[in-house]
Formats: sequence, structure tokens, C-alpha cells
Amino acid sequence: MGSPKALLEWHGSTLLRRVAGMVGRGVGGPVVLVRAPGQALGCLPEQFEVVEDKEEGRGPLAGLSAGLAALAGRGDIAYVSSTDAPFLHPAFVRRILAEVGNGVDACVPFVRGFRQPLAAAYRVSLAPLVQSLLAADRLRPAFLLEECRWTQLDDAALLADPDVARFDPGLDSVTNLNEPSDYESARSLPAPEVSVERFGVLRPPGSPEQVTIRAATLGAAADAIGVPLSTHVVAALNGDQISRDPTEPLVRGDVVSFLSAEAGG
Amino acid sequence: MTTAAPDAPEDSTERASTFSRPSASAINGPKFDWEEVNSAKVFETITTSGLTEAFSRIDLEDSKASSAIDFPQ
Repeated sequence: MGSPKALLEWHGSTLLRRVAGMVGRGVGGPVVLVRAPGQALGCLPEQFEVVEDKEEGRGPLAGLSAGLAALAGRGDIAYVSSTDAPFLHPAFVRRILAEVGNGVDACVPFVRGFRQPLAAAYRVSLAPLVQSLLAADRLRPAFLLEECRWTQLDDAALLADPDVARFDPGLDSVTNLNEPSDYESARSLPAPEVSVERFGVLRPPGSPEQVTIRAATLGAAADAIGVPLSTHVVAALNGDQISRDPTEPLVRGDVVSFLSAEAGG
Repeated sequence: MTTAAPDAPEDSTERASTFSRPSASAINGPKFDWEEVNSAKVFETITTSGLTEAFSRIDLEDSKASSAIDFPQ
């Protein structure tokens, strides 16, 4: 059966934790993880919801069906990702989501010469259609696209977005891992470059206000500058998202601000 | 939303029957047209390597959603 992708180590965390975090930052809404019955997903923050794919072994549409059903009534559009997308960037997620709207039910990127149905956005209201396809044993994502209004974004269209061009110029968001060499190659790349700020008592006298480091998680960033992530320290991601979770994934372009909990109120 | 998708069916016979045979242009042409591959258009002469390549592309695009990686023991 091989090693479950979801639990593959990723810079001290797991692939699943990373991808779930990136999707969460891109969508700004609930994140649903679809697993096979009883599948171990490791230790995850409570904000991630877990549902089970009751039709195990029936391919991506079965997972999509379970995920969309779980989101019914809580959002209009869902970004769908496989677990093996370690370089997914929130800017990419936002760009794909923005394409679904007036008269468009789904947006599937066409990147690196392939359609990417598991790095795509779908209307939550497509759930009944997906279910009907499963009932008819039409198990491929292409069958869904045949029956809904969809659009695609190619490399050029994606890179026309300033944030995508800046933070994901190689469109590595669609990189997935299917062979051991894929994983080993991806894992051997350096962690993303992020900026770190320290405030108050956390900033040693004479030290620069902001430094650039490489860190794939909040915990790694804290370690890199010698700040313990404790109850006395909180971190703000890009000025708003407050976290103390060392597994919080970081991505290229992030600015992490560490501040004393007491000083920050 | 993240889908921890289970293994997709891997049986190549099933895949071949599902997709009929790919067109020559899908195999050899510079442009890959998924819709054409998925259609019933067939050519009588298809090389084995070409067929493998076409199905490999289908895997990547459409259903290679295995939830596991097989590492060497």
C-alpha cells in the first residue's frame, strides 16, 4: 500500500498539515479534510474538519462529493487540493477561486501541459451532480466538467496575477508527488524564504527590525531567531493571523511578527 | 478543502476500455487534447509506447490520485 502521503514528513510537520494550512489561508473559510474510513491523519489543529469518504476506492470524485456535501450551506465555492501539493501557495488558491462566479461553476487550471482537477475550485452546489456521476459509475473529474459550466486558467493567465507571479512564478502550486524520487527531490529543496520581525523584549538591542530567514513552519522560524513559542509569545502572520502553533506552515513572502503576549495585550 | 483521496482504480484494462483508444494526434502531436483522447476517435495503428504515454498522461491529469507513495523497502 505504500506510505500514506498525508503523513509524509515535511520540515518537521506533515504534508497534510502543510496543505491544509495553505488551503485555509487561501479560502478564508472552513477547511474539510476527506479521508478514507479510519485513515490516520496525524495530530491536526481543531479548526480542520474531518469527514470520511464513504465510497472508498472510487477515485477523486468520491472525495470531492464528500467534501462538497460537508460544506453545504457554509460557502459557495470550494478550493479542492490533493494532499501531495507541498508548494501550494495561498495566492494561487485565491486566483483560482476568483474565477468561479457569474455563470461559472468550476475553474480548473491547465498548467504544465495538463489539466489540474485536484488544484481547482468548484461550486459547492455541484455536490448533487457529483453524487449522480458516482451513482452512474462516471468516476472521472472530466465527466463532471462535461456537465457543468467551467473555465480554465493556463500558465499565462495565472502569471498575469501579480501575487501569483511574485510568490509562485514557477506555478509550483501544482507540483504533486507520486514517486519516492518526487518526494525526495521536493523535500530536499530549501524551506521558503520569509521575513521575521521581533517586537518589544523579544528584540535584542541593536538587532535589525526585520530579518530574512528560511523556515517552513512557525516553529522553525521561532527557532531560527531564538524565540521560544510559549504562552508568553504570539506570532502574527502577515499582520493579521495570530498563531502560536509551531506547525503553522509558512510560505514564500510571509512576514512573521513575534511579540510578547504581555506587551501585545 | 483538501481531499485525502483514496487510490484510484489502477487496472489498465479498465482504463483502456473506459477511454477507448487515443487518437494519434494525442499521442504524437505537440498539443495534447484531452477531449480528443476521451472521445471515441480511434486510429488503427497505435504503437505500444505511444499508448503507454497517452495513458500516462491521462493518469497524471485525471485519476492518479493515489493516497500513498511506494518507497523501496
